[in-house]
Amino acid sequence: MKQADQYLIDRYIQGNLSEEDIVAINQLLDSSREARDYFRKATLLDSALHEKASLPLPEIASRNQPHPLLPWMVAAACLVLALIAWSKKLSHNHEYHGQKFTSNGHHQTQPIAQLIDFYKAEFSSNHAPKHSALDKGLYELKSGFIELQYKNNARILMEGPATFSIVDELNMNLTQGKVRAVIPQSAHGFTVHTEDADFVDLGTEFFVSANPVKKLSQVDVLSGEVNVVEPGSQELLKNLKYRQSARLDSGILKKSAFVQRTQLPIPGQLSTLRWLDHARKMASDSSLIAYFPMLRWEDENIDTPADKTCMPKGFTEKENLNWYRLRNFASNPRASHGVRSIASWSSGRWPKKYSQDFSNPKARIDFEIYGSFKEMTLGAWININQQPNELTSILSSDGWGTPGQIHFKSNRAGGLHCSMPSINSLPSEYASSVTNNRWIFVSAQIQTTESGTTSLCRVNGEKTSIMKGPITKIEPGKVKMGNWYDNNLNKFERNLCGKIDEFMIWDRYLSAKEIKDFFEAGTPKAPTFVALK
Amino acid sequence: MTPPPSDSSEDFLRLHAKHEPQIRAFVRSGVQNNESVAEIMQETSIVAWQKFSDLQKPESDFGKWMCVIARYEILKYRQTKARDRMILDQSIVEKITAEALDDSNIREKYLSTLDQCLGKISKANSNLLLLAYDPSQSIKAIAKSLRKTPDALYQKLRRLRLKLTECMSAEHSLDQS
Repeated sequence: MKQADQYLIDRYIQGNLSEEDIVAINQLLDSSREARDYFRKATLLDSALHEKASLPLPEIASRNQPHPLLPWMVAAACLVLALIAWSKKLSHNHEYHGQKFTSNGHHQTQPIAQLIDFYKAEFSSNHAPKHSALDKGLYELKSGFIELQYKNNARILMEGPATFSIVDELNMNLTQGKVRAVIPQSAHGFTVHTEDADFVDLGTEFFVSANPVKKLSQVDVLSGEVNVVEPGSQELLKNLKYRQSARLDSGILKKSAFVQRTQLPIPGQLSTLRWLDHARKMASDSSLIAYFPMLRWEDENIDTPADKTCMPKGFTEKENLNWYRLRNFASNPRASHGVRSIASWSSGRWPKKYSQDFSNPKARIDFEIYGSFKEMTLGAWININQQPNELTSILSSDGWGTPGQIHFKSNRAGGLHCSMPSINSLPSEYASSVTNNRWIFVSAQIQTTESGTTSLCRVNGEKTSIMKGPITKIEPGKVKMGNWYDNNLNKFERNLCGKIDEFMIWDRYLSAKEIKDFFEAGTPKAPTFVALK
Repeated sequence: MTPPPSDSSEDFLRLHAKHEPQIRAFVRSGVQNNESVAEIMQETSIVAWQKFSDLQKPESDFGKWMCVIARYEILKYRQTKARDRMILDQSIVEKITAEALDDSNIREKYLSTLDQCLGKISKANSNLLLLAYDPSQSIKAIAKSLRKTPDALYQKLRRLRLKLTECMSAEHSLDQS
């Protein structure tokens, strides 16, 4: 059969016939049995592809050998329902208006993948996920980052612009963009298909980028192994292992040096990016006396404030190394930078968010709060492992006795309070709510009015203790974060066995709502997906 | 309407489920678009449901019997839609569907080779083909996302379909009919 005739029939299938084509196809099919045979084959294939493209996917457990009648059983079940509905309509003498009962249009209720986090993500309006579900189909991420979790627990991090389609639980097409795939054993064989190659996971983490304009595809293996396979022949082009890379330039495999693709976030890190936005906003709050987001001295994620801040007194030459300094990022600082002693950098609330660990009995961060205040609020994200000391200091003035000093601490019973030498009686309200081994937001609000000075503590925004005393100016002076130094005994005994991830001190008495909002903003959780434009 | 007795309802459903793909493919040979296919499939199923108790040898004849009903429904549908533009002449559709009736027994086997043949083209290409057939996608949008013109994408799909048709014909020939 002539190729031109085959193409004519194919144009009919695609619905692309011109006026001349209509005349030609009628003549062809009328006169040629061979053409009619080909026509029947073409329509058969078209029908089968339609069926296949609109069928729900089998569950993982049955993916290797799905029941051969499964799709049709679904259709049959629909038919039963339709006929029952029809019979009921007839029995009630209603006019029958028709009821579709084809297998088209049935969709799987559980999505193949779930959008579990996103950051500044913008999808094109025609190719966006419905709610947070991603079933098979084409998606176009115009900008930002997304994190997907497949039903088989594969994690995909992607940076826009990216065009991709989800085929099933083990296959995705990447037309354009960058992907980090973190593949557990349950998703072994997960494959990223690009124009130039298929990248087949053999239990690993890998990075793939596809650039259709430059006709470049790149894979970097971060752990485990990846097979690079020729898309047409399925021939194995290369087996890549840990820290090996391959580049396909116009479909030709080229050697490539491994590059750590740090620009693409790791699972969970989108929360850190979102927090950085929050931290930038925080730093610009002029009511902040001190703000320690626990970023490294050289960190450029937050603008370095004008150099109105200095190091605390007694600061030695050796400690003038960036390693020892902890930057106060407040834009209107009234406290020095911090000096880290023994306190060590540790992991924070999210991946690549850092904290300070005070588990060593002598670990602390020294700094100085200048001046006196009528109001003050302290806030910190802490995670305590255990409480070997009677008291665990979150922030305490050096020594104890000078009016205006503050001691913000918890006890072994889980009580949280902020005392001053003049306010050291038993709290009028007291709840045990400092729990170990989880991130909690602790705050202390101190306020001096005509009737006296009050300190109110909260855990995760909930009130836990109130202490009252005579009118006292708040003058913390030299303080230690994560420990306490007793001038007389010259020993440390109140170190915080755990970590502090973020610390802020305001010159005002925050409202309960503001504190609750800070807790909500900093809680380690993904945002709720509402809608993306 | 006289629906079949309840014990034969199960038989009807089972046979309908089994033969639906090939009946749908048969209907597709007589009309051009999927909306028409769906409408004719519905009418065919209703008629078959009503007349199922008349069928003497359901196990062996169901597929062909449904195609006979479907053929009648195709021709009826074309008459009722006469005001709409029909691409193929009625006489040609009669001829094609009459010839297609003879394919009934082997159509199922032919369709069963699809997965095998899809496995012979690259995964990216088979994915692209299925994506193009996904009712929620448009060719224009897919072409745009691939940075191709719709014409170029049509060409590519055409080549892929041709490859599949050749493969399926080689695996199981309809020409035996």
